[in-house]
Amino acid sequence: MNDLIQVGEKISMLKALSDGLVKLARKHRNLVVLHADFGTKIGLRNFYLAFPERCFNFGLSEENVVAAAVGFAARGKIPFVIGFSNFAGKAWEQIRSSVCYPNLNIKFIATNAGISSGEDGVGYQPTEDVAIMRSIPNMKVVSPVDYHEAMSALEQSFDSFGPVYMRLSSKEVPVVLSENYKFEFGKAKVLKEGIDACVFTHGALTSNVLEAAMVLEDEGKSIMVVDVASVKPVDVEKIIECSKKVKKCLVVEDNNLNGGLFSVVAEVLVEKNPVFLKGIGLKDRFGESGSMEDLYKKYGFDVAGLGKKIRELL
Amino acid sequence: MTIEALQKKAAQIRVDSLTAISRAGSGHSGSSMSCVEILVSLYYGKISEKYVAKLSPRKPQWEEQDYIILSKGQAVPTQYAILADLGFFDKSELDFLRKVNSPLQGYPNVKVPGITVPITSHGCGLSIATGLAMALKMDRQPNKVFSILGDGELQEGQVWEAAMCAAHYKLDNLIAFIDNDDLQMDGPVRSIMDVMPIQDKFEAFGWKVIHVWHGHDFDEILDAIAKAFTTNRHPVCIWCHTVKGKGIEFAEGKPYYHDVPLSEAELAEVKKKLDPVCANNLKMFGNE
Repeated sequence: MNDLIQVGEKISMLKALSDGLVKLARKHRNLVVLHADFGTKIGLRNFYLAFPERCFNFGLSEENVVAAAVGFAARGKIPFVIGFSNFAGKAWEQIRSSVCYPNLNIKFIATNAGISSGEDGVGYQPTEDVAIMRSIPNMKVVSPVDYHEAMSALEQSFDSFGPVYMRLSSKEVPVVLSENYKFEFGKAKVLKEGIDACVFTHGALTSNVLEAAMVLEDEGKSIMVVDVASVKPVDVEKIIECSKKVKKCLVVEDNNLNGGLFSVVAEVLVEKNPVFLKGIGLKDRFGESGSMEDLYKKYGFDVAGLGKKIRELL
Repeated sequence: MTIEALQKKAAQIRVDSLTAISRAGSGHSGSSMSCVEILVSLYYGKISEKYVAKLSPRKPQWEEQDYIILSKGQAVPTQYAILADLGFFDKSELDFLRKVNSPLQGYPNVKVPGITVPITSHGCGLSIATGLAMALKMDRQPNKVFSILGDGELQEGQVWEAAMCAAHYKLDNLIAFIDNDDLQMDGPVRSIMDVMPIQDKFEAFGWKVIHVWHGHDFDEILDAIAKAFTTNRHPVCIWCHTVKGKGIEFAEGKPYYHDVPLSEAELAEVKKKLDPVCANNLKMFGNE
């Protein structure tokens, strides 16, 4: 086992967004928040109360808010554009051509990642955002696993020049990393060592993967779990290193496997170390309305479901 | 600059941009011609002895500069020709428009000195201008933001998102020109997807609209800008009636010339007509 690692108390990643933005804004006067009616009630309440003059609501106009950020960046501001993840699709062209092509210092924070957003249904369950964002040159894609990683990734995003897309779950997610954890772009972190199989994962699902790995540990199967929050740039060396230590590799993600982390890992391994690789995630399909717990159960993302699937693949 | 000098400058910019488009072998000749007078007014025009836009070729990232955002980015050869003429970069660069390894991309590229924001496709320019105007207001800076939109571009939904936003935030530092030549790639705008009534629409969105009947008349354009400068608490739309391909006698009002270069023979004909009135000798260097 690594320095962490216990599945701890549940904290919303939106709290990380709220706490992180306020902390950064205190230090950096050029940080502005632009959002498409994201709601000052949830993740932005504290920021809005502390810095009302730096928080702009653009209403439900995702294309406009992304392009307007380009104008703010032209005056030396560092805009954090915040919205529900579906804005990634709605304003993809603006993000690609107006932000990533000129490599502007604009950060995108999208909440309600994957099917975990639950009850609102497919329209608000972006499961292709990882694929469409990582396909854009200059863009960095990060999908933190818990509150602490989200906090650290937020700071790193500010410090790292260029566009960043950060995907956050809107639900309370168990903490799996320590408070002092430092996220780095292009670095993956082994959360749990193992020798039978290696599971690469990202996002809010990670705590379930860890719990499933611990259940399997009790059954005598040793599973390595790797947090690949930095989906792009991805830690190529770590993926190869881990894949060489085990017999089989798996990718678990709350996202469409087509173009998601599964594709990322497959692209790395097919070239450098072709090994057995399977994906557990959405196989070219959509989600539906339901609570996060029920959806995770139905789609096999709960601890029992993941344990069963991993067991089958071993 | 006097009105006569501005007219000469416009003739020179026409020749320069058409030559660049012809050498590139592709580009929007007709579209680049309809906004020549609007751009020349912004870059060279004066109101009460002061330049309309504050710019300096020696300081392309100048904090105090005003911003000229060509939202109808396909007309960028005209803007490039002006920037080269003002000394932002060497005029010989125009020979490499739309060619490999040249910064002079087919749409406004921020790597070109004098281009301050990227314009890559229709409909994004007004949003970017809105963001810039908001950032300037936030810092209580007096810089102005000018944006030039095509009429076909008004079919983009994003334009109206930006229009709503600019009025909501009372951006009186933002002036948007509508280059209304009534033609787009496939024919007349009104038969493809009518954007009229432009005035009513912008007014309904909370803008002040100033009507320029002759969008190639410097007096009218400069008058409109002067009026726009005195407007408070509303963004201003200067609605200009223009002619596609203006200045190219055989191409005026013809949709065919929207997005094609002139042939060598056609270019020679245009040069023959415009060269005598050109203002190549009226070199000037910004106005800081």
